[in-house]
Amino acid sequence: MKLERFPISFWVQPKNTYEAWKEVAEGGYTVAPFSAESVEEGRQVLDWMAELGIQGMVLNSKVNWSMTAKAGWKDVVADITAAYKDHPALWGYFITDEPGLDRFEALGEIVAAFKVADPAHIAYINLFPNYAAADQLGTISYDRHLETYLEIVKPELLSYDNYSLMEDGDRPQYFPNLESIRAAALKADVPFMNIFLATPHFSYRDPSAADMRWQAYTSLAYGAKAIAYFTYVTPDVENYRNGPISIYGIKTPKYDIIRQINLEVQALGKWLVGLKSTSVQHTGCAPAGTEAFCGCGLVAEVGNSNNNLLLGEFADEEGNPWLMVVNKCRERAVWVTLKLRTQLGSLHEVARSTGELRAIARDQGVDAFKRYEDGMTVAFWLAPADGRLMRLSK
Amino acid sequence: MPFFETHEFPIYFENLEIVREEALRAGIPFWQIILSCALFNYRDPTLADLRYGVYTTLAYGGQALAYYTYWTHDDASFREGPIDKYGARTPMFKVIQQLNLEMQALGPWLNKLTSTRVAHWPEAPIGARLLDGEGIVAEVSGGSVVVGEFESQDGEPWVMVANTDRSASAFITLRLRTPYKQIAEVSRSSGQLRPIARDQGVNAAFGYEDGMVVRFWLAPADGRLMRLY
Repeated sequence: MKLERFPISFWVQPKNTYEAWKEVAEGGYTVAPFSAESVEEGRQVLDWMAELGIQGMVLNSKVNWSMTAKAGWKDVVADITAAYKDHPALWGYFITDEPGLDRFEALGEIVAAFKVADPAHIAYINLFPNYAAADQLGTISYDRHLETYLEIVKPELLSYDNYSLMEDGDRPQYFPNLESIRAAALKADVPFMNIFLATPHFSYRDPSAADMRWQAYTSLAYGAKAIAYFTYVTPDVENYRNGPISIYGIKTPKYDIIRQINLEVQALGKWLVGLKSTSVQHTGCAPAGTEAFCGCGLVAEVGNSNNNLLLGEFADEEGNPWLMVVNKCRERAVWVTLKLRTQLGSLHEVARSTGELRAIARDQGVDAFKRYEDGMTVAFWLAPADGRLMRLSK
Repeated sequence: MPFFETHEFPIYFENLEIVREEALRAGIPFWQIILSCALFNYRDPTLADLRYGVYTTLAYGGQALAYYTYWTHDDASFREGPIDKYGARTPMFKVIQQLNLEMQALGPWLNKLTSTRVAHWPEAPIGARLLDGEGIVAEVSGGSVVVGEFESQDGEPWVMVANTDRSASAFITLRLRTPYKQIAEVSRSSGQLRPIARDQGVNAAFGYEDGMVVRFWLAPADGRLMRLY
């Protein structure tokens, strides 16, 4: 299944006013969850979203994992889809968050009912991260949890959340979670969404600008076809603080940090939605549960100091190879030099300003790549936690 | 605040202790002025430094607060105030705006309370008191805190707990020695009293024969104001 547009979404929506949804659109988000007291209000929100160029996901308390226990539940599905499915700004329907195995059967029925009533839009479910307890997952193995979910529920999008940025360091489960999700999504041929941390709470740290970039670009290199932020508005509970929008409805510095990343992902996303992830490798020390760089694929060799890169290889529908290189270091820029094993003669990058392919832009017009009999070399700077998406072609 | 580029001068709490005591004796409110710009060898205060200044003042019973400075003096050593030397807002403006809106929500309640006790746990800074467990707060665990106890005009107990750690959140457990069975917090978004809001509706408070146990997260340098009833 292919998404038409790269979803950039969030949890915790603002109040239903035109100004608030305009701030969402200006923040670079493309899919926004919303709830409404009435169909009239809901369609008003979607009208605003259509005008603002974003799409909406319907949250309705009548739609949840336990709805099948009530007689007439399919009428609820029929009513909600009938109310919104013709609207051009509709993206999908929110079903549930973090279900355990015991809820999969019911969710399978609900997803199937939504597909019958409205085949054009997504019935959205979000899954647990891999550090969830067995009692939460209903399985001892996270991969088994994903496998049974995909088999029984048959979702059109595989969404999960992973908050690994703690006050005392990073959780080691971040990359293994991406590995599990990527493998499961490829096997089931569904796109996947990573939801990551924007708003500090509990003992999760306040993510820096580099942390935000790191979460976004590592997801993209793993082949994510959608991302979302937890949260947009700061909830006034526990020790939640410093989200993009404060408890007073005011934009914080994080709003601007995320807007920049979102505009970049919009530019890259229009290409990424059409690509298939073919491999992901880590140079230098590969975290447990990930693939170490072997030099046996498109990238034959990396520079001596390139020991903290993520290399994501992709293929487009014409069979052209694509490469995304991410600097996993969040403190320092890196001078990347790659030897690419290929018979193809052209290399382009996606410009994040225009969203168009162009020759790799080096300062003062210095050449970035050179062709040889058996391949090419390419060299460029990558900022801390930043990534570059490139296409090889004839 | 005595926060310098290379060190902190450990007289901050001693100063608060003295001012609190003298103000209570004289029956007048006290006002602390905290640092909101860098000058001389005082460092550019961080977001957590500012929050620390605000919430420790409130826990000590401060009923007014000011910042030094708003406009940044056109003097070589003054910099990074909320409004810079050209009249433009700096990142400090938003940090302080957030704190001010929080104080506006808490202030109407705090200004009707009298500070009855204030103590630190698990360590007392120079000139300050260690929690002795003889007040409403019998025990506290989960972090480094200052605990302020208060009394309203009709004799109801209030408690404010502030995290004195400026880099780590704390999951706090309070044991309260009280005949009261209910506890509420002041919501800083609405300014209204509400049950202590835990994520996903988890219970924060548990009643026992001789008191209550309350649990909640506190962000670095943050505080929570609660009423028992």
